[in-house]
Amino acid sequence: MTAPKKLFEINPALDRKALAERFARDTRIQIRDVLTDETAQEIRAILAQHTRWGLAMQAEGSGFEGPQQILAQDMQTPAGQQRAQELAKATHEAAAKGEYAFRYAQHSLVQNVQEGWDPEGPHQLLLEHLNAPEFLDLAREVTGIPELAKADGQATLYAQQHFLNRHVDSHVAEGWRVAYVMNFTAGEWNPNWGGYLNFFDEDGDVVQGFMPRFNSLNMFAVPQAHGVGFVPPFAPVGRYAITGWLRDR
Amino acid sequence: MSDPVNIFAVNDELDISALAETFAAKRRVQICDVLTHETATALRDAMAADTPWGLTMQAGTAAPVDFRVDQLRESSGQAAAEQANRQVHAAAQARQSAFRFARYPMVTAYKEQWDPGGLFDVLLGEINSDPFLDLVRAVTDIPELQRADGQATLFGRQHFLGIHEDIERDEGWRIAYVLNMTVGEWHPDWGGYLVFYDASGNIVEGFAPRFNTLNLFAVPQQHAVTFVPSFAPQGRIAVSGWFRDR
Repeated sequence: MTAPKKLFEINPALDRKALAERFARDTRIQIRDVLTDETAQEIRAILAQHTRWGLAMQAEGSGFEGPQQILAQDMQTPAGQQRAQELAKATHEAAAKGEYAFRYAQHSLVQNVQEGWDPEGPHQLLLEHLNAPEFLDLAREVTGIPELAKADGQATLYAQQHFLNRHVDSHVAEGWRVAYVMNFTAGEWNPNWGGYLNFFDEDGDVVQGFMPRFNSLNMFAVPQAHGVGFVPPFAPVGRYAITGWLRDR
Repeated sequence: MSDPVNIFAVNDELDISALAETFAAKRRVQICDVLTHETATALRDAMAADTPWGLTMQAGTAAPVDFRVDQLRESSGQAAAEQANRQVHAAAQARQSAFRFARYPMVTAYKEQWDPGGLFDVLLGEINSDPFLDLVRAVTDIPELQRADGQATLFGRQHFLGIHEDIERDEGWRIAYVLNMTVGEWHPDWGGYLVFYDASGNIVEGFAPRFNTLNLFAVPQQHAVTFVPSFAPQGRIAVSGWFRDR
């Protein structure tokens, strides 16, 4: 009898003290090889092969108020496809005007659990791992915020023509303290393929940009201006990630 | 008869020592408001209105291919450009060296007398005049800089300059420059940033293409101009090239 496959295991070799020092200095960090290679590959396989993707889009000033979703089950219906086209057009027009907009493929772990999309599936286990002491302790130690109490999460895929425009998460009052992005990129990413997590200063210059590197955990203190760079049409489908916020209540 | 329009005068209020300190510390610097506002506006308006943009593309190990504007007006030129376009796409997809942008080769145009005494001949002369060379010498602390080449560039939708180092260049190329002549206010989400990478591929700094800003950086250094998305409403216009010590 073989042992059950592990799904999520923190790399025991991380130098947490050094990571904490860097986070304290920069208010952001990229932790490489954050999980054991075995479990990181398992999660990537789940995202690449066993995840039903919907779309998430927002287009400020377009008439579509706030973030919009097209769930996976609606992606094949004529109504869903028509709405996807309308939203794609609206995000294009908003971005052309410099308004806030985004467009990416999404599978919300939280919705999956709350709405019982797949009770036997791996996605709810992933959300449990993100809320387990092992992961939260790592986040608490590196950020120096012992109050971090829970994580939400969504799986994301930035395919060709996808982007997340520059914005500032101003949810601090609601207990959103730290944003995270765990990258599970297929293969080795190339800088020309975009999809970087970029941070901006007040003038709009980039002060740092994290390549979407397989098995890396990016964390940054909220609020700070950031975005995900546009993914060009020559990039392969492969920028998989799990992303969300760590909250203190 | 009206006075000729002045298109180039270095701003005499720049804090040279502060700029030199930044350059010494980082090997790169942005000089905001590098020209007087009046001359920068005149240069930008002239470039935006009158440049006969061609195309330049490069894919993989092949040499760059250039198309002049008159070639792009003919179907044979369009077909060749389309083919080059596909090769750029394939090279970028395969992690190979690639670029694609509109340009006007100022040095070639000067040598071949495409437009004698025209805007770009005047501009090339100004870039090689002492007020500008002295500024760059002072900020970079390289007194040996002797001359500069230059090209006008326009990064429109789908254009980019993939990551590269400039190591294969001729000897004597010391400093690369980009003089941004963007029309209006450029939005961060429209790409076209001049970005610099560390050895692992993370971005360590990225300069927005800000009007009347001169970017200088020591060669070699891993850099790129990021992809301009299909929703960018305008092109990113600049003058770029290298300063040489011989």
